[in-house]
Amino acid sequence: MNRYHLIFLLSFAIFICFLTPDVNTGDGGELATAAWFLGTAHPSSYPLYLMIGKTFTFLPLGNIAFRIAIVSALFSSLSLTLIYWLVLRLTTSNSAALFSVTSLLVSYSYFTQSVVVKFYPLNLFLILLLFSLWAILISVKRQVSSIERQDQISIQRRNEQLLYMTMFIAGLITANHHTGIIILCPVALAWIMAKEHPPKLKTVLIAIALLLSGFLVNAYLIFRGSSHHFFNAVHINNFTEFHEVLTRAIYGGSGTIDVATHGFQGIASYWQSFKNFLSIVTSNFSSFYWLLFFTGAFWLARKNLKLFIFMIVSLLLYGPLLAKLTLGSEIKSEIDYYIVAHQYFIPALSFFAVIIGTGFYQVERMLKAARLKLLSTLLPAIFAIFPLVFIVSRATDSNFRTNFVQYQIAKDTYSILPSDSVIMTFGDNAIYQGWYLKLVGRYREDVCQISSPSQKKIDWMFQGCNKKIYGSIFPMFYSSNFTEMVPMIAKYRLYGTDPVKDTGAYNKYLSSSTLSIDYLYMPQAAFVKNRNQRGENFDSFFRKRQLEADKLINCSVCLSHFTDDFFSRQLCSIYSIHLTNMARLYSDRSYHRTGEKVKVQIKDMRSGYSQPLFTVYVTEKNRPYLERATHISRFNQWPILYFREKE
Amino acid sequence: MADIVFSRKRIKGICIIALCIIGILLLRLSFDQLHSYSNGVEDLKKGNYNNAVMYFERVLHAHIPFSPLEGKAKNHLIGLASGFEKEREYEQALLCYETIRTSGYLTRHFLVPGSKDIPFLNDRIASIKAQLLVKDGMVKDFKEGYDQQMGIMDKDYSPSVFWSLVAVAAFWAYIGFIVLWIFKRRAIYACVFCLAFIAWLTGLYMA
Repeated sequence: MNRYHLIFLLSFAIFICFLTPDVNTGDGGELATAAWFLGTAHPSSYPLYLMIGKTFTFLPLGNIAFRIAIVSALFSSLSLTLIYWLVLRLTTSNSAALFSVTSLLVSYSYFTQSVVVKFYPLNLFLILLLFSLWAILISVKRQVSSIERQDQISIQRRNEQLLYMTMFIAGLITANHHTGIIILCPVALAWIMAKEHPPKLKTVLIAIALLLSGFLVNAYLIFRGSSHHFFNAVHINNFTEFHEVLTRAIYGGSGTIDVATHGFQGIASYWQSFKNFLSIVTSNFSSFYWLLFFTGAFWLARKNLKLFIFMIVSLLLYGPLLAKLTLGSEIKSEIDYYIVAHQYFIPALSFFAVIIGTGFYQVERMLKAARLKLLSTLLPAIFAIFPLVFIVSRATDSNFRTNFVQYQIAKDTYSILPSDSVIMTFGDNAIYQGWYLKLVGRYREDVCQISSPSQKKIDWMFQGCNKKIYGSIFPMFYSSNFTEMVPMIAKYRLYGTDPVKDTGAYNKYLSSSTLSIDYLYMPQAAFVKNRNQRGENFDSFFRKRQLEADKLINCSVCLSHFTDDFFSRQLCSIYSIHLTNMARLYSDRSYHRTGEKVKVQIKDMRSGYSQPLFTVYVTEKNRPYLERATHISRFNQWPILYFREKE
Repeated sequence: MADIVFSRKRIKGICIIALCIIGILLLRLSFDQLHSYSNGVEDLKKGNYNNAVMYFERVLHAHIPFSPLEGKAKNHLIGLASGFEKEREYEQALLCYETIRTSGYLTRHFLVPGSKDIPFLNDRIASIKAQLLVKDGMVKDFKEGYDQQMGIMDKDYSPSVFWSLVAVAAFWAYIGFIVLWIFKRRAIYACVFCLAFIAWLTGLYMA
């Protein structure tokens, strides 16, 4: 076993130690479901990632979401190994290479993306593969200025292989996340700087064929995206839909082509983008690393100007320029940090890590030149592994191994529903994880899940309520006639993960009440014409269901997750609502009031719904509920997100 | 000869890495199972049944083939479910049965772990739901409710295991032989990757 194997295995072991045990928040549930069913995910659908994910679902270890999360750990470890190899090639120093790896491994964004179900580590690996190969080409170019013909042929062949691999990987990138394509710009620049002879026509044609071969992985969308397959977040039945999904045109101005063509407008926001990028790097690496960065950049510029330009251009493109396209205004909300800042910039962080490795090498050389024998050997070795100390920080803010919040809340959402219910789910965390639990896990198959009805895309809406399965049980929900649905709704069979808002689309038809962690929807009185349509007395039903729900749900997950995961903290507010409602239920005089009373305001962070302040009389029975609600609120109101702490 | 030796060495290296990866995963999952099982048993003794169900479920989700703890966790859950049924706590019993069933489906690979228990679980789940549906006036009688629930649970819309495997194997063959062709330039590799591509598309279509 050599050092590369060790680097890979050690980093892999660390990531596995902190890997999410089940489905995580955000896209996790959707990606796991799409991979399992060989279906499509949200645009651009990431077929490469889904095929790799599907491969891992055959691993007979853990659960399906866990297996797909292993893909993140695997490619993150491979990326670290690649960075080690690159820095070692550039500096010939093990310590410098190790320092780059350990610094990047423990950085907040890199670490978190490596332990959840997400496609960014795969994206990074493909980018780094091209980055590393071309960096080495430029770095060795100067050494081969006078060589024999036999070696020239071998070099020509090597360059052809590099070109072919580049084109093939570029094709593959189009089947994953589109930010991967940006690397082709510095690669093209590297080609020019390497002063490679123009390739022969045959070489060009083969290169184009290989680009197409990689691109053809997108054929997955055509073969699996049609309506007659069971699960598809987006349907692809013709070329127009294929184009819309592939280019993300469905998202309007946020589609790939729109962002690429219009994202560069607005000169003023370049400065803000640059500041945002600096803030992200400093948050991940601390200010000290900038010293190493400039030292390394200076050394690179002196050693090989072309290599320096290549690396800096790569960093600028994936740093400030990408920030211009995605994070061009002042970061104000946690959402900006958590969704954008936290995910898109790991390639830039990786390039930064490579350059700081070269800076570390300079420091090492200075120590050796100062003839401090013991120190020059010992200090670099110690500092190379010193960053691993910061794993302790990751154990408190990115310890996804302890985070069962998403899975438990999704499960509890369905557990408390009466048999043969319909639930309307809103927002990614409710929809995607609902799909995973219901369709992959086949949990509560008697419940029909309708997703974001306001989306108006029927195929999206009925993913969790397929007509093939539920057509005979809920025929009324497949028509657009609300009055046909009223008898079922009046029997307390319609629920939602968001309340019916006063200004919402359904306000005319429905009203809602908080019931445990869901919302019970009832038809407006005007629609309930027949008294026989009414179910049992509302108050009696409500109390009974609330008490039953209390036996079925489990809030303890919200007091035991060591992550600053933004969505987990949001979701935990729902349990506080349940506990507060239970406290209200038990605030009656018959439960021996203690004389205390508390003012409570319920805020559902998932939907943004707030109830007005109300008073709860403390009794012996409801005190534990109030205490627990308070604990959950406090535990999940960490002043972090990690990025926020740095402000 | 040197090439063959080099290939064997490389294959040996890859096998060792693969074994180490499996070892790391087994370590992680074993720890999860042990930790969750001990918490589950403790909560069971304390009468904290909700927590016990949660922990036993985690044992099942940290699936390791032939793990004795999974069998024990499942038995505890079935024991809890039976107890709840006797006490007429039907929804809690339902939670336990559904938990076991869902855990099987969430940990399936080529087959569903514990698939021999599925018919029993389906029967219990359908029976409980039928009773609840009759009570709520959603169905006329027990048989209608039972048949309705079994009708939903009997169907499986997952892609075919065989064709999924064909798609996965062909996909990796496609990628692998393209990379091999780039480095070795043998015509046979080009033929294989074309065939692999067709096999992949076939697997995708049929799955």
